[in-house]
Amino acid sequence: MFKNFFITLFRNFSRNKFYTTINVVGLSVGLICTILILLFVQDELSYDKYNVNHERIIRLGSDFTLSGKRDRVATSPLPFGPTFAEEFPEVEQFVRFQGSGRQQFKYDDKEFYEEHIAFVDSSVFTIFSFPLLKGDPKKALTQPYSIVLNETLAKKYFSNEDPIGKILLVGENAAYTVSGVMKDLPSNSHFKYNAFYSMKTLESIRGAEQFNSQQPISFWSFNNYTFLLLKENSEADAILEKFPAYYEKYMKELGDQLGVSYKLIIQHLGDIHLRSQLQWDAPTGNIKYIYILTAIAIFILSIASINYMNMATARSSKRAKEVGIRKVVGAQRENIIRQFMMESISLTVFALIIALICVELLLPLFNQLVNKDLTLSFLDTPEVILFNVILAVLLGLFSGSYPALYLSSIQPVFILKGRNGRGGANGFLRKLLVISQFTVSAMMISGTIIVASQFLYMNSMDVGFNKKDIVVSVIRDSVLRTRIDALKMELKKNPNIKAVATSSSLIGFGGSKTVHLYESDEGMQQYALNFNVIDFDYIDLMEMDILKGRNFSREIPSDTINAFIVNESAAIKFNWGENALGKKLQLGVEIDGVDEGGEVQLGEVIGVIRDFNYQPLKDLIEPMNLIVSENPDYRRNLHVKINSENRKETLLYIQKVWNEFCPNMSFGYSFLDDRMKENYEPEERLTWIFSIFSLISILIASMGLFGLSSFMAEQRTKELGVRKVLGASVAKLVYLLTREFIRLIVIANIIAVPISYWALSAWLSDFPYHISIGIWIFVVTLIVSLVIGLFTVAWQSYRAASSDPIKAIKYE
Amino acid sequence: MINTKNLIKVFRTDEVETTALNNVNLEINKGEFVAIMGPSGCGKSTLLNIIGLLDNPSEGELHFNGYQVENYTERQRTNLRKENIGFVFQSFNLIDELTVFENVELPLLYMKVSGAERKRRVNEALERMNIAHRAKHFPQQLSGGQQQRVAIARAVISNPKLILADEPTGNLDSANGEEVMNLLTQLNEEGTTIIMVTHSPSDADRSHRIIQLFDGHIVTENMRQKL
Ligand SMILES: Nc1ncnc2c1ncn2[C@@H]1O[C@H](COP(=O)(O)OP(=O)(O)OP(=O)(O)O)[C@@H](O)[C@H]1O
Ligand SMILES: [Mg+2]
Repeated sequence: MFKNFFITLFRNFSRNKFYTTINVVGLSVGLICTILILLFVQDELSYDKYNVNHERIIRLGSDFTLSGKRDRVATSPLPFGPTFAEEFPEVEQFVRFQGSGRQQFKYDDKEFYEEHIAFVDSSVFTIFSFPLLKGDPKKALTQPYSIVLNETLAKKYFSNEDPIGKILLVGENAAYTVSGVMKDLPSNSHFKYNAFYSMKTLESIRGAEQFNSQQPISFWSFNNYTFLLLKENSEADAILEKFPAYYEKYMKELGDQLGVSYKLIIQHLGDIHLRSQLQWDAPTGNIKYIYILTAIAIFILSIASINYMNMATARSSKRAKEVGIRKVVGAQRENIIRQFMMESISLTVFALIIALICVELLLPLFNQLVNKDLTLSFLDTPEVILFNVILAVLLGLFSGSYPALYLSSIQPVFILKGRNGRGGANGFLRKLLVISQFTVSAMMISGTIIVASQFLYMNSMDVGFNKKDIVVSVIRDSVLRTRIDALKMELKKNPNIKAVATSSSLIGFGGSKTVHLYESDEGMQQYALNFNVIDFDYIDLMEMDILKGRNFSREIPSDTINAFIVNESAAIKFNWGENALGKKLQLGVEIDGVDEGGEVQLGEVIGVIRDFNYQPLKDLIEPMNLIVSENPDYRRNLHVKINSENRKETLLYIQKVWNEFCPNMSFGYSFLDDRMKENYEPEERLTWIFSIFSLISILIASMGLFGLSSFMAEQRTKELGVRKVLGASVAKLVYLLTREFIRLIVIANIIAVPISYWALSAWLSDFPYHISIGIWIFVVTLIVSLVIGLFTVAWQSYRAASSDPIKAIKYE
Repeated sequence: MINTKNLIKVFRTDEVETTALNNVNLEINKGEFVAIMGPSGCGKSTLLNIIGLLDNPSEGELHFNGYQVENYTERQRTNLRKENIGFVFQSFNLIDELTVFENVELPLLYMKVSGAERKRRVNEALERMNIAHRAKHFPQQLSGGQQQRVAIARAVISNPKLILADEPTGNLDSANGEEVMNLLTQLNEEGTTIIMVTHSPSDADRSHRIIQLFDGHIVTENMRQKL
């Protein structure tokens, strides 16, 4: 039985190479996309799950509202760790991470800048599964000035030496003893740390008393990532329930004074990568993209599967005779169903084998696209492979079901009479299938257009300043910060350098925020306002527009003490209307009448600046305040506006000057517009993914159309011959053959419009600055589908229409 | 063996109603060789299909081997058919993708006969039809007469008690037709009941009895002397 079945199968396939090829290629390509997407999704879902304890690890975040402005951050105050462990019996251990920024490491003659380093508590290695290759996980981070490097860094600085006990110089004056080497963190870790300093170091820098202080003020600075390991069978919700009492005890008093309301955020470690939407979080994935990709995979697979159904049923009149004969000699309906099901399953399994091979070959490219390190193997990803085998079988069952049910229902008497029985009956369904394929394709095309346009828009929209040709560099050297004026002078000697300025926050990446008091009819009111500390050249360099009042001026020394420039949004928010100039504003507030950091600054508004996007474009412009200062501490970011020509020479010149001023730190730079693009990396990636996958879906759909049209042309050869003999022109015949398909494609596009509109509006609504969905998008989509569809169908039709009519008439 | 009472078959297509059989009463005994004749469109094939359990009558009774079968489901008809009835058609109706051997083997596959047994019986049947040397060929590689012999081999492979032949010589030249008729006659002599539709009087001469159909009615039944 099996043998006979496979014989028919292979003979059928080899006698219909054309259709078999179209089917196998379509199914393979569909499966390739699915496997790739699956690998991607599986990797995204696996984030942080490598931690043995991941189900018991939670992160504490903060949700606070200060004068009407709500912030949700991934960080929490320093004392949370120890006090939570004390107050909540559910907590077994805690660990805190405090990022340290870029630092220069030095050992012997090896000297590099390193990033992704944090101060952490020594419990890190018991809570997380970060295996140590060298050193004792329990003791490695218990001493001040000890450091644990990952394998890569250890190799980089110590090659083959044993790093344990070696002294590593960090920054200008710190010396750390290497106390451990850990394995590089896996790529599916939301942590990107390369090295850990012991938290004890911070304690010894700040002094134990201040560091361990449980003074109210320590609870209101959110600068740590706090993770808790819960005891077995403990629920995180229990902590949330009991938190109000904790708040009462430690935080309420000062909170009420500051006018802040606070809510604790608890996130499970496994949710951080995909479901965290907090500020100050590591760059994370997005569950939405997982949904989008999964939908794309389903789309592509269904297009491929429809191809199979279409062609199988279109060719049913050819298979009908076989079915009839089998039935006459004793086949029951289920024998026939089984035969056709097995046929389609064999085909999909065959396609799966091809797909697996192709995935293996394509993975390096795909990894580049998604910036991952995915692998496909029975060892690493048995579930993916198993899943795909099941998927292929299901796909086979699904694709085969309609042809099988249809063909097996054919009555033998119909066929044996030489009639095709219900040959036309499945015409409607076939049309429906073609329509659904092109509906999906049209949705993918519109999706591509929208995503790409949105991406372009964000890159090119008017952000309120000119981001072109600005070289930015972080100034870490505190000596250099004091010599900025001299550096500026030296740089400006080069005619290709147009301006130089510094600021405390880098534009496009948000800024600092602190409580301000602003003048209102009801006296001074509190507001948490963003601010950026700039120098006198900054506004001119950025080519920002001052709408009212004036820029900061060197000629007016008091500007550094009591002058503010606010943006339009601030003027509106504070209800200042047209009269913003001269309004009182105070940066910072005294706590209990004491100016803690000596940073309170009272002054008045001297200018209103046109709104500019100092935050990523995912955020609307919020009120902000610009301050000018000569305090070197705020000169963190250097901006050099250069001529767009001679870039190379200019950069070399900047580097030369930098090295003169700061010989012990090398010059690291980037262009501002490139930096800002990083903010839209997910969108850029999505653009690529969309374009590629929509191209593929159209390709598969057209392949199906190609097969279908050649089949129809073949079927109508005789009719065409007769028409031709009677005088029809080739053009007329081509029109006759293509008309139907054009209609189907147009209908598909009409169906796709509302669905695309709905889905894309939903996607766009996440962006405060977004394009609008114009009619043109759907018109372009229609034209693209029509061109592709026509191109596919026309060739077959032309061939059929221009063939010799005599031959055609003889055709049986 | 076969007994029909007031058999009626009506085909409905959209608006047209065709009465293909109208009150057909018929009795065919075991071992008989019956020829059905009549003008084109008079319902010969329809009758044969109903007797062969490929189709159900619209009205009337059909008794097959003592069972009353006119209301059988497709499944029941198939079960009865595959054990008892072999078919031979004008257009041979072999499966193009299968070899001669595989075509003949087909009925046994659906009867779940073991591999070795199948092989023995197929070879025997091919031997008998004098076509064994073509076992590995595909139908298109054979002449019409050879194809019809393969079809007869397939019809007899399950040792059916009844063979239904619908114009078995219609697509053959006289020599090949003659040969096919010889085979059928021989089968009948060995005890198989045969009902054959034909337009050829000389083929009909081989039968014991000729049933004349006209417009769905039996007009005459000619008993003939056994040769
Ligand atoms: N499936 C069907 N649907 C509609 N009408 C049918 C169908 N099958 C047969 N008929 C009609 O029933 C009548 C009898 O047809 P049948 O095939 O039995 O004739 P026949 O005697 O075998 O003719 P021929 O000698 O040409 O083979 C004809 O009028 C035919 O058109
Ligand atoms: Mg007939």
